Amino acid sequence: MSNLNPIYFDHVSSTPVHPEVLKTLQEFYPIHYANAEALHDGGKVIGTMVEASREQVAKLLKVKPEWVTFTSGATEANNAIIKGIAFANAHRGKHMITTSVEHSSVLDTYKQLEEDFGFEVTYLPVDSNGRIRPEDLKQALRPDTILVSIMHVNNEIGTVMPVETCVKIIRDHSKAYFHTDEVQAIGKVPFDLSYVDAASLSAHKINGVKGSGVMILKPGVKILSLISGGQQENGRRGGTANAIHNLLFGKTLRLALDDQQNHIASVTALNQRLRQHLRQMPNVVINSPETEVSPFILNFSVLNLTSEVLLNWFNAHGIYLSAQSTCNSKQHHPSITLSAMKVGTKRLNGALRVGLSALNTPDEIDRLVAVLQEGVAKYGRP
Amino acid sequence: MAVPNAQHAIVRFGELTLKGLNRRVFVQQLRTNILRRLTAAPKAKVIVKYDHALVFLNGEPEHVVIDALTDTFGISSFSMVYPCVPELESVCEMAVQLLSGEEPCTFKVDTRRKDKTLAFTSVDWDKAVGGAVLRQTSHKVDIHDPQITVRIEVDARTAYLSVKVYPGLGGMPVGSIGKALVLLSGGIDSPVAAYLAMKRGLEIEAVHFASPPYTSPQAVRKVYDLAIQLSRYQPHLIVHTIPVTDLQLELYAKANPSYAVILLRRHMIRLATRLAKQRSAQALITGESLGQVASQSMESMSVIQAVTELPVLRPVVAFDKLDIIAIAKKIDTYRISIEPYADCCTLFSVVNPITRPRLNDVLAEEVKIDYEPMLEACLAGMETQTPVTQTADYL
Repeated sequence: MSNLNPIYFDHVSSTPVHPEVLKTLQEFYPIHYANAEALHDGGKVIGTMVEASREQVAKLLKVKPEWVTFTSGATEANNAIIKGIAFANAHRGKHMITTSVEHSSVLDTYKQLEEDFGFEVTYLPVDSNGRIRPEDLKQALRPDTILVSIMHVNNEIGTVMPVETCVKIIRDHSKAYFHTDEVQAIGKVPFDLSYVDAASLSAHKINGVKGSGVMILKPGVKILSLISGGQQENGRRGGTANAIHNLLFGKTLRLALDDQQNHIASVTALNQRLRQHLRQMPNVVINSPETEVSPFILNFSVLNLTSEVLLNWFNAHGIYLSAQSTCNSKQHHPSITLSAMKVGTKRLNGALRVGLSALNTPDEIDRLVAVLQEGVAKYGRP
Repeated sequence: MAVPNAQHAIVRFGELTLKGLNRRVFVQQLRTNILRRLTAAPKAKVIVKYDHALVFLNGEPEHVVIDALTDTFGISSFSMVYPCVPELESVCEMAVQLLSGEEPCTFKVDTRRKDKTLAFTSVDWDKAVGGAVLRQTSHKVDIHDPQITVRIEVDARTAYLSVKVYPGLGGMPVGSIGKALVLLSGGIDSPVAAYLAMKRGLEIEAVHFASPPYTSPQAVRKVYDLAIQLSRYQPHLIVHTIPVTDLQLELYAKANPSYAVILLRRHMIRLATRLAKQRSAQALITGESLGQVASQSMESMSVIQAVTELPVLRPVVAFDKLDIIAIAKKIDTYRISIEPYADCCTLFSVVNPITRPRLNDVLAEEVKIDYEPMLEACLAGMETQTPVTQTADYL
């Protein structure tokens, strides 16, 4: 079944663990099993290292350590931020705004608030590049709007959202908090957390371990803690800390940001190479925008074949990629982003997402194109 | 409500406003120092006015700027200024928000209209904003002696609010007085001496004497950690490490052991003097405090001082140990200083060190070794570094 040497083009879904992170994991897991909150030396040693990690994360993100809460991942962070702010500020208003192309951990959270808790949510539409229009946001803002969530980089086609412009509009026209999902942005495009009230990050998207994320919360943001049950994380998140994962986040983020410039340069070259190949293929449309886009994501559609057939074909050749956000992949729903872009059935059904990383090579790009051409020639409807 | 971001900081100068003709030099030095401390906020800009400076954040994080200004000598105090729509409702709301983070205290509101055509008087706003704060927070009004003054400056386009006055460190801008070389042992006193010297406007470099292999690399690392802590006040603090092992061994082999420490001290001052001249430093700084240990008696100090023509400044000379410790804790060097790594003076310690040396006796002991080539060898082995924070292996 499994291929010994697969070509991995699904780095948007998850990434291999960086060897240095893995080394620390292997070294620490057998030794540091004590509860990081324990008062004996076993707990203190790991507790101190977790706090050092928190300080490093803060420094790298230009925030303060007390604004950093470790979570089980970005999905938890998004849930905690959106629900926590909604419940703590409902007395001020029950209107919230997000985009129609968020990751499902944001979209489904808003749906739940809407359907089960009586909040009113405006979902901003997007243009043909998958980008929201700031003027739509301006119109949607109301005196009772309490939170706006806008992702920094779209996880399906890579569009960079005009976050800074949006924040300015929110500041000038409302009293709402601003939350952004930075999962696909950190280490990949320039980011600036100084103007956001809350943000979410994930470790396994930047060569860290799964089950590890961070929530950034500025002081003064009124929030109800989602997971009660202890003094951990300043009472923001109960439960025994996943200390070693939290510790590894510091190193994971440092490595991702240290090599950021090199990664962006090499991935941009790979992205251009793939785009050039694709432009020459009839029946192929590139869905990712040309500008204001993360080079790490390239989404395209084959108009005369469905994603499912193509994925099977690639899989049989040991090439791993996705059709859309992996968090919806088993429901056979078409891509949320492409649906919102109103691209038409053919583009919707034949979409593929290539998740690039600096670990990929030009040869792998060429192999991807060769297999794609062969598949289209063999199975494509004339 | 979204957490507001400050637009700029108003920085009030310290003592340097007293300076006459040199004023410009002092103020420019302060501007340079603030910018050097703001490398983590490259978009921030500093504009110097007559008796204050403005630091514009240009989107840089507020806490980075606050930390930088808190650590810069030559500032008496500063405030963060928050812009807002010039409408009463918004101004009230922002005032409430800025004050709700503070401990309950007394306050007053002081509105100034830069544009006198605005359709309200300053007193109208003082009352309205004060009322809003009174209703929505637990602060109390005191218009005569308030703990916090909410300052509002308003024109047709923007209202600017400032609330909290952050205390500055005072003193003079580092580098505005000159440059000195501090002898940094790794103990509690010398970092405090360095801090106080910087506070009076001296730029410093540090020299450390090591005795490898009798002293460990951790002892040098400890001095680097102290230097990193002090570099909050003067970025890029340079540390010179001079190995003195051979000189020490020779001293203990040939001179009277009771004189070993005082002789070593004289050689250290000789080495420091030569280094100071190389580095254009005009004085030496030590952490000596009268009567603390044998080498810090009046007699010892004068015998040690005799080897240099540079002024030897001793900022903590008249401080009690507890006073020194209090400053060391404030500047967060104490926890580093008490790490247990031996420095070169604690080695070969003798039972009966001489506490009231006479210069003639010292000279008689000193000539027992041919120290000049050894001093040259010490200097040749010197290592110079600008210490930076070491990342732990697991990070």
